[in-house]
Amino acid sequence: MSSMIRLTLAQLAQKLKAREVSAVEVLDASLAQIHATEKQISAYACVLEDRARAAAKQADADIGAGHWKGPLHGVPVAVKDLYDMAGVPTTASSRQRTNWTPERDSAVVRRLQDAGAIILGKTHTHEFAYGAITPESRNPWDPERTPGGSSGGSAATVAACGVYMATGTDTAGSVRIPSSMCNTVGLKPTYGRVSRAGVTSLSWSLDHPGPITRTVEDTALSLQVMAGFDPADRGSLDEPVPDYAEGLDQGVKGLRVGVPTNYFFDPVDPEVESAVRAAIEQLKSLGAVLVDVTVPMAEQIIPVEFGIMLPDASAYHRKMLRGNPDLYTPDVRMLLELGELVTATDYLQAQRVRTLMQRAVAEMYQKIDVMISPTLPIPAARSGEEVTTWPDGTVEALVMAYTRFTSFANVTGLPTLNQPCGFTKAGLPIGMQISGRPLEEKTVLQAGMAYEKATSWHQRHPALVAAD
Amino acid sequence: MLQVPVNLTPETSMNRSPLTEAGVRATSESVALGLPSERMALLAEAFNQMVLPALQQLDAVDAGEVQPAAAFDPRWKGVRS
Repeated sequence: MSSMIRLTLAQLAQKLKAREVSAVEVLDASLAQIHATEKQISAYACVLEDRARAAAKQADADIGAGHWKGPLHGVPVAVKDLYDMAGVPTTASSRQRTNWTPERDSAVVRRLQDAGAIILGKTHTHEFAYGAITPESRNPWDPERTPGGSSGGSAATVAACGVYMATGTDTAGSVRIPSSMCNTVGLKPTYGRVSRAGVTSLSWSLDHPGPITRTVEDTALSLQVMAGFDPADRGSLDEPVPDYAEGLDQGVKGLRVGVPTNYFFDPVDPEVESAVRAAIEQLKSLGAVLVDVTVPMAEQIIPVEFGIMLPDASAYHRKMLRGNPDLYTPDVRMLLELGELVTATDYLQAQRVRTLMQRAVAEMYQKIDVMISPTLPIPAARSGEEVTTWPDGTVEALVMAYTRFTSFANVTGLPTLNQPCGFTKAGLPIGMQISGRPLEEKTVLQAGMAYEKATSWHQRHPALVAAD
Repeated sequence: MLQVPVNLTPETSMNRSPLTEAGVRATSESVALGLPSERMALLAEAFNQMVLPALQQLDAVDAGEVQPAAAFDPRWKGVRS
């Protein structure tokens, strides 16, 4: 069993296609792993065993009849509990959503099911995704620590080899933050590349659905299914979807890699900085051209993020906040009430500054193809901790530390990948961000793939994944 | 090349006062938020710690004639790779 659950999605897909394993056998192995690890990591809001088994049997029948649908056919996956799935509660990990069961699938769930994926459960999130941790879940690398958030259940189960891919949503880093903490590859695509239809909103213009996997290739295969225009999503981009797996291993020779000289390394844990700078040097050794860049208006990243997200979230929750405020957890209720106190002119100023930043960043990208930075300034903190203290005595709220670097890609909408790039001496994962131009996910994935092929971080598994 | 009319002028930014308990009361009552009175001071404190610095930072930008977009579009129209 352990050898099967540790396969990559791409490897498993070939075995399913060749009928070397059945979808039911794969499902059984995944369920066994989930049952074996759930007490330690608590990744799931619900496990849909009966539905998944019926889907797996159907997949076996289809593949047996010669109707293989593609790499996700028969593959166990999970979705964050913000994605609607007809007949299954979307709790958003909130008491506000008790007895809230959608009648229709979200666009992503529909696409996954059409591709033959076996959705075997829904994963925990921070309540309504409004936080950078996932209080219910634990980090597979150290269950005393947070897996990050808000897609923490998804990253935890992928890292623990419960499933081969899980979806997340990313409004201020919520795909990349848990991916960095759990040693998974997580992609926040370009804004509008993946439909938000049927996904509970946190902020309409900052939300990005995206996949979390264990390798870059698996992310490319997952994005292939998830991406595409959807008229049901007002922000969806009507742009062609390229073949993300084609040319994935073409390398980085001549690729211009931006290395920020401001903001993104200030302050950063020395072990994180060392790992990310070593990764940059690795890319250089593979043929990339390093270019120092000054990120424009960097001091405005968090103000713009907060200036938009706070009022957006409060507008979405307007009725619930007035009707049943006591059903929220205290931290989320506080944020929603604060959003009511931001004026309309401040909200519009944030949008205008965002436009200026977008233009300035576009100019910066004339000199580079991708930019690399740490995903997080620190590794995963212990569950329950709320602040970190820097060597100079500065105390920083963890929610600020976790979102300080990731918010850049939400504000600009740029495709950004978390790529595992090392471990601390204490054995905690470290990730780096690779940010590309709008709709250039292929470039981002190619850079990640080149680095991944040259390193072995992605081959490490937490101790709760049994060895052969 | 794009012309980026960014003008950071923190020295001339408005001096924004911290939000007071009375300010929270006026706002929350005007939008029928229904906050209990003991919550007003707590919210004012949280706002001044978490939100005010961000708004002050936004104050420092002269956005000129830039209009807020009707909907966010991440594409850089007219920008060549």
